[in-house]
Amino acid sequence: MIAITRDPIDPDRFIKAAKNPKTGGIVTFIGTVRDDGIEALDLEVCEEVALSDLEKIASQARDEYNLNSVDIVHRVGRMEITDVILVIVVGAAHRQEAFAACSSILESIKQFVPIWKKDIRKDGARWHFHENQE
Amino acid sequence: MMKIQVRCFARFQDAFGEEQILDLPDGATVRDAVRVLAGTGPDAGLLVDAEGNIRSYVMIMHRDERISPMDAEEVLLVDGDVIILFPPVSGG
Repeated sequence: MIAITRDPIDPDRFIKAAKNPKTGGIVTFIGTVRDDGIEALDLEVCEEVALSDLEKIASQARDEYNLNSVDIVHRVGRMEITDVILVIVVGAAHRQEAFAACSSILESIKQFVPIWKKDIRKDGARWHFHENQE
Repeated sequence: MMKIQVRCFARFQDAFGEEQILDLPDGATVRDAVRVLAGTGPDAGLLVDAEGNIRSYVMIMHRDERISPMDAEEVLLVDGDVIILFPPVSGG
């Protein structure tokens, strides 16, 4: 499944679905809300572009790493500390491909998929904005 | 004259609004549109530098394709075009 959701994500569902007689390695990344002195995290998305990007990223990873399965589910909206933001589950015949694919997918998401975090603090809200990407 | 729709997200939306319709002369480029938009808010430096160059972290979508800020001068607009501006992303 490739999806963007405003609902809580259950990673176990995708791990179970990735089990396959041809798969010898399932690698999972679960991104969660870290307590950096915030009350909550709010994520905004340009869904029409982000969903298309995730589908392209999944397709490229499937081809490049010969994956048997790939699931990417990104949550948006308001989240509390420890809530799951992102789940990536990849299944491959061997662990090397699965580890590499999972890492590659995550880095692609962080590089260009239009999703933005905003810290919600007691004294107000603040976007994550790294001008040094310039 | 052309009417160009510009949509902004996240921090850019806070500075320039969710959507603006810009009136631009025929022959205007994506860079022209971004410069005009930058002039509509108090925080133009978010989008362009002192010379009017689009900052390299600005992600530009035009007709479902990403355009590098360096190439924005080469992309001609037509009446009714939509441009989407993204600040640096922070998902994952």
